[in-house]
Formats: sequence, structure tokens, C-alpha cells
Amino acid sequence: MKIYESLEKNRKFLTEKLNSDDVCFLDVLAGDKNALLIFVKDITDKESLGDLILRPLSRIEKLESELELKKYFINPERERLTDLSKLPDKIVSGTSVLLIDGFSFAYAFPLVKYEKRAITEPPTSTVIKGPREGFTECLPVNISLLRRKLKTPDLRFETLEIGEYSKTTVCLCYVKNIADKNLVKKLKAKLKTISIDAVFDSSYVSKFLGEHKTSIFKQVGNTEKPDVLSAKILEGRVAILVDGSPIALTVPYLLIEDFQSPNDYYASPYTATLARFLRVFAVALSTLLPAFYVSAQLFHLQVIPLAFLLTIVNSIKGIPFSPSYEMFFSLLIFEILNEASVRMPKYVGMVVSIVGGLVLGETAVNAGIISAPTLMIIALSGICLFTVPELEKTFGLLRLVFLIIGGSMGAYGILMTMALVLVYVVSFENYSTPLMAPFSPLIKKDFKDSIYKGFMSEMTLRPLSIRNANHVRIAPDSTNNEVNEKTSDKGEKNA
Amino acid sequence: MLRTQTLYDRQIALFFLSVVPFTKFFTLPSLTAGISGNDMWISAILNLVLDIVTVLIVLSACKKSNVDFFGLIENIFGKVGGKIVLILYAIFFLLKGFIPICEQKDYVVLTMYLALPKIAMFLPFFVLAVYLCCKRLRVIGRLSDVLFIPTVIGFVLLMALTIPNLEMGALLPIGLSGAKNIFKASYSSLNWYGDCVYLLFFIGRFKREKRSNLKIIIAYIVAGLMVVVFSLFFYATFSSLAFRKKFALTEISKYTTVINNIGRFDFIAIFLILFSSAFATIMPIYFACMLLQRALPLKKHYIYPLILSLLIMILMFGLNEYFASLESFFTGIAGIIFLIFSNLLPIVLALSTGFRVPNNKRYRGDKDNSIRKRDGEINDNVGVDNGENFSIVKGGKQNEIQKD
Repeated sequence: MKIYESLEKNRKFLTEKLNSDDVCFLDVLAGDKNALLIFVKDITDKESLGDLILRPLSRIEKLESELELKKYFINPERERLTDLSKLPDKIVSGTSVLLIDGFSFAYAFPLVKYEKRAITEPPTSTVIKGPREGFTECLPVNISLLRRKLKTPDLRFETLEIGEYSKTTVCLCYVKNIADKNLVKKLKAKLKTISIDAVFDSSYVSKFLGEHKTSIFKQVGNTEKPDVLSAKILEGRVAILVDGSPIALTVPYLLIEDFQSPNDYYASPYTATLARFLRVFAVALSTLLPAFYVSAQLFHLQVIPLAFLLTIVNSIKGIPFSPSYEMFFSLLIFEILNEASVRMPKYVGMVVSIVGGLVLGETAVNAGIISAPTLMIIALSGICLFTVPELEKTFGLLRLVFLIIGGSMGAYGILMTMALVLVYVVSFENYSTPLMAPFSPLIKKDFKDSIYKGFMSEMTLRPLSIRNANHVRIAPDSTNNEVNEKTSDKGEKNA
Repeated sequence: MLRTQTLYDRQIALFFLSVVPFTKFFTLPSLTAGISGNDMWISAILNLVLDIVTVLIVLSACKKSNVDFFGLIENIFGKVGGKIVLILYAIFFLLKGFIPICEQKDYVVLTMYLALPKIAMFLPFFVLAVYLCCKRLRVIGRLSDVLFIPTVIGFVLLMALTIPNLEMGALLPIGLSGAKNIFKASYSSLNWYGDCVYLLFFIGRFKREKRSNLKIIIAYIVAGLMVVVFSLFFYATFSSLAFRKKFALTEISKYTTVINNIGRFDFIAIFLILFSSAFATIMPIYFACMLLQRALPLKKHYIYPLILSLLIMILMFGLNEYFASLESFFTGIAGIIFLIFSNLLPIVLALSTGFRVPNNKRYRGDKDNSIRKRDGEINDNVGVDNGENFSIVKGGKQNEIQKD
């Protein structure tokens, strides 16, 4: 639908479409012609409106052709529109539109000004050393943060709109010569197929990106830190930024990613390796300990050392529940406390931790409802799981499954469930990337940044677990001077 | 036709390392100790030598062949004949898997659940069996990549705990039981050995690299050595009482002083071994399902795993009372069946077609999902293979095409 030359016809159409109090229709003069400036009051930068539109308009004396308009409106973001049906969407998304009588086009000026949060340290991944800035809810800010980290023309941003009503801008971000072309193509196609009312957060998009809808394992990585995202992009991943969300998504995702903390890259490789081993151990302990404890008590008493067995026997005397019920209910209470502490306002949170952790726990033990070892195991299991907060929900669910199996079928049931989970994760692929890489399939060269963290100078290749167009991260001549010298000698000889 | 090479030689080597030893740690040691006494380890060596020779011949013969097992069968026996052979092989695998599953069930029920020996405790094994049997061969390769870790840790820990109790003198003099008993013990244990037959399913499906054969052979030898070491340690621990120790796995490290002091932490090793052995025990069912699916294809690929697992479960629980008779059958006359299908037939198959395959007879009709190029299917080692060449067999000539 083309823009009419008659301003009144245009006004009629737009008034019908934008019948809302916050939309402002301002009659102005463009030289000797009538003009109409349309914008949404609350999301438009008034200062810019005056500087970039109203002031130039007032300078026009006589308007005869578009050439004169171009002379006055020198804003580089100015856009020339000819489709009338597109104007309402533009206006409500914060663009100011200028229509002039006798001209069958409109000028659009993106003068949007939202209230935005300052750049702060993300609460989900704090670091001791390293950059402390985090993404915000504002997409242009996030893009600028990334641009500052990666000053290369190969860094590409491709935007598209998702959401029937929200028209949220979603931005695909990758480094052209590193990211796998097919992956970019596949992701773009997938994003285009998303048909949803509104996208309020990147998690909405992530639900559509997973190839296995019923999986309890994560299929899309995420981060709030520009340095982490830049590093991931340089490994060949594709990032997805969503306007209104401080969390960037990354595809493809490997399970090991969540065991890697940003701290590891800014600390010594020895401490990083130790920290990663601890995280893996803690997650395994957290998931399996309650189940094994219950199964040992119920079915395999021979496994428990005698001294420890006596302690357990003394502590469970008079407890009305069976070990599995006792553990199950304790875990349930722990999860409730956890959920409450997240939801409650901060000033009440302290009360919850005191009441839940100290009063409830100690009273329950003293009253003989829960045994002390059970409480200790629950506490240990709960704390351990928070060493990898990203996987807390997944492994929390698995912990519950293992506990039920352990309580009803014993250690062999747990072993078989472990085997089932292993088969599942080993066969799990998302965007042609195995979840368990580089362990299964075994990719030795990627071990340098898996549980073991190698020296930065050793990591000459990008992860082979992820398909990428360029494997070399550090050029050989920058690390191996001898090789460099030899090759240069050969070159001289050949010459 | 595009043939994606779904596995790596490393994965096959690790597969044998994880699968070969652990079905032999339950009742087999007591059985062989009962026949060949302190020479039980020689019987084990004999069986292993037979298997290693089979592996060696099959690997060398099929070195230059692009044909996989199903292709070999089809080339030799024709379409209908091939299907019959595949079904026979499937029956063989069910027979091969039956006793190890039964003994694992007995082990789990009788040694792990002291307070409550219920058969139901073993049911999760069949759930795992059905699930694993629905997976493609590539998953087995990937599993091998991680499974060798619990395998090695479990074995080393268990053996380390056994060392203080060893009385190596019990193994002397060597050859006391006589050649006849040694061979008899070897023959009786054919059901447990013969894992070399699994190699048939890997030929033509893995990427050959430098020293691929050597890697696989070495892995098989190491796996075999684990069995021999276990046999040696088992007899050195129990000497003349060894034949009575039905469940060697739990018994072998039980009497270590450390355990008496701080509790049975050897169960960590036992759990690790049980974890690996579950996969090892499922393998016969897995390959039986694969064979049946190939011989008599069904649209729903989970039907065979479900049926076979149910069948074994029913037979196992139904024939529980006749286990002794069954065992004597499997260690007696059935030995010939195991010898034929595990060793002789693979050698004959490999020799007949492997060294030189006429171009016009080369197998082409590959309908198996596991080796068909699917949308989004990737080769293992993911990024490593980016841009690598894959072989294409067309009109008898081998061309190279770019994967992507």
C-alpha cells in the first residue's frame, strides 16, 4: 500500500490505525507545505526531535523537491519509506515519521529513547579477576559492548523481528570467517519459523531453538558477560541477542561449558583445573550422594563402615520415617526453601535462611523427625549443586530421580539409571554437535579446555567439538619461533 | 552411495577394552577353577589366543574391503540365504548373552541385596537393554569413549585391594592339572569368550588410520590380560577353595585388612565394574536386534529390543530352577556352536571375501539407518572432519567427495 500524495488521506489511515493517547500527531509546516509529524510521546527523545526534525523544518522556506528535504535532514539514520501499511509498526516501535503534503513518501527518524539500566556486574556470574561488565536489557548497548571487544569487520549482526505483538528485535551475531555457515543458515531459518505473541526474554527464544523438545538437558548456552560471549563467538559459536534481555544465547552448546567459569580464564591454569575438577566432583556428589546413602541404609548395609553405621543407627533411633521418605521430604523442604529464598524480597530472605536453615533444621533433628546425617547430606548435596548454578535445575531433577530409584531399587537401580543417563547424553546431539564432546566422542585436542585447563599459549586451535570454518586460533609462527625460523630459512634457500 | 564412516579405530579398541573382560568375572573363574585348578589362567590364555587370532585374521583380511558384515553375508549367501544366516547369528547372540545375563542377575540379587533378595531389583537392566538396543552403532562407539574409564579404574582398584592377600605359591606347579583339563576348561568357557565376533559389525564401518589394526589388537590383548590377571589373582587368593567361590567379584577383595578396618569400600570398584559389565552383557542382545532388524526389517525399531529383552527376561525367570542343567548345556555341547559362530565363521567370512572383492560383487544395497547419511548426521570427532574426504562407492570405483 503506497503512501498517498494527499496528507489528509494519510492522516485518516494512520489515525484509524494508531488510535491511542500516547501517539502524537503534530501538524507542522515544511516551507509552504503542510506536514504531519507522528511519534509516540513517551518513547521519543524530544531533544533529538527538536534538533533533527523541527529545527530543520523551520529553516525550510520553500519546498519543491525531495532534494531540498535531503539538504535539511542530514541525520544518517534517516529512512525513506513508501509503504503506508508499514508506518504504524515503525511509529509504535519509537520511530518518528514525517509526512509532507504532495509527497508520496515519508521520512522515518529512529529517535527512540527508552529508560535503560546501567551496565553493571551480572549477578549470575561474578568474577574475582577479569571484566565486570554485563549485558543490559538494551540491544544497542549489548551490541556496542560486543563491538568494543571484537573490532573486526568479520563480526556480523543480523537482526530480525519475532513476536506478533511484541515485535522484539532478535540479533544473530557471529564472526563470518569462523562460524559454520550451515549453522548460521539453520539458525536463521529456525528463528524465522518462530511464531509467538511476544518475546519478553531470550529464554523464550531458547525454547524454540532446542532440537529435542522433551530433553531435560540444556540445549542452548547462555551468558550475561560480553567477554564470555566474545570468547564463545571466537570459538565458532553463534550468539543470539534479544532486545529486552540481558542474557545472550549461544549455539551450539556443550555440557562442559557450564563447568567452565569466566574466572578460569583469568586465573592460573592449575587453579582453574582444580576448580573444574571440584565442580565436576561436586555435581556428581550432589546428584548421587542422597540416593546412595538411602540405598546403603535400606539394601546394602555391608557397604557402610562399622563405625559410621553405629553413628547412623544411633541417629535414626526413633525416627518415624523410612530412610527414603526421610530423605525425600528433607529434599522437598530444601527445594521449597530454595524457591522461597529466590522469590522473596531480599530483606525477608535473611529471615527465611535463619528460620529454614537453623530453626527448622535443628528443631527437626532435636524433635526426632529427621536424622542428623540426612540433614547433613541434604545440606552438602544442596551446596555442591550450586558450584555449577547453570545446571542446578537439571541435576536437581536427576537427584530426585536417583533418590526415588535408590530408595526403591537400591544401588543396582542407581547404576542402571546412571547407565541410562549416560547413553542418553552420549547420543544427544543439538545442531550436529554432541552434548558430551570432547569426552564422547573423544577429541583429545579439545582436552586443553575441558576439565583440564591448559595454558593459553597451548590452545592454538579452536574447539574441534564445534564445527567452525577456521580451526586455527593462534597462528603457528606466534608460538613457535623455531618453526618460524626454520620455515624462513627454507624460504630463503628456495629463493 | 555415500558411506559415512561412523566409527573410529580408537572407539573399537576402547570398546573391546570395556566389553571383553567383565562378563568373565562372575561365575566363570569358579567354573574354570573347578576343572583346571591352578592352571585356570592357562585356559583363559588359550581362549584369548583363539579370539586374538580371529581378530587378527578378520582385521587383516578386511583391511582393503569397503564391505560391511551385512554386505559380506549377502555377497556369499545371497539375499535369502543371507537373511537365514543373519537370523541364525541373532539366535547365536541370544544364546551367547543368556548365561552372562543370568549370572549377573544372580550376582546382583544374591550378593548385593542381602536383606531383600528380590528378582525385581534386576529389572532396570532390561530397561537399559531396550533403550541401548534402540540406539545406533555410533552410540556404542561414543559409549566406549567414556566407558573405559570406570572399567580401568574399577579393575585397578579391585586388583590393588587383592594384592595383600595373594599367595602366588598356590599357582605352582604350572601344568599340574594336565593338558586335558586345561583344554576342557577352555572348551567349557567358550560361551563367555568369543567377543571377537563383535568385530564383524565394525568392519567396513570405521575410519582406518595408521596402525588401526595394531590399536585394536593391542586393546584386545590388554583386555585379555585383565582376564588372565583376574584369574591368577582369584586362584592365588582362594587356592583350592576357588571353585566354591561362585561370585568371584565380591569375594576377591573381601579379606583385605584395609577393608576390615574401614568398611567395604571395594564396593566402589565393584559398582564401577558392574556399571561397565551391564553394557558388556547387553551387547549380545544389541547385535541380535541389529541382525533381526536387518534380516526382517520393522518400521518401529524398538520392537525387536522390546521383544528380545522380554524373551530373555521370561526365559531367565522361567528357567531359574533349571539353571544348573542349562549351564551344563552351555558349557558342554553348545561349545561347538559358540566356536563356530564366534571364531570359525568370522574367519571364513573374512577370508572368503575380504582380501580381494570383485568390483561387480561389491555390496551396494545399504539400507541400514546406522550407516545411511541422514540430514544433519555427522561423523564423530565432529569438527575434526570438517572438510575431510569421505569415500563414495559407485560403479566399483572409489571416488572422493567433499562431505559438506
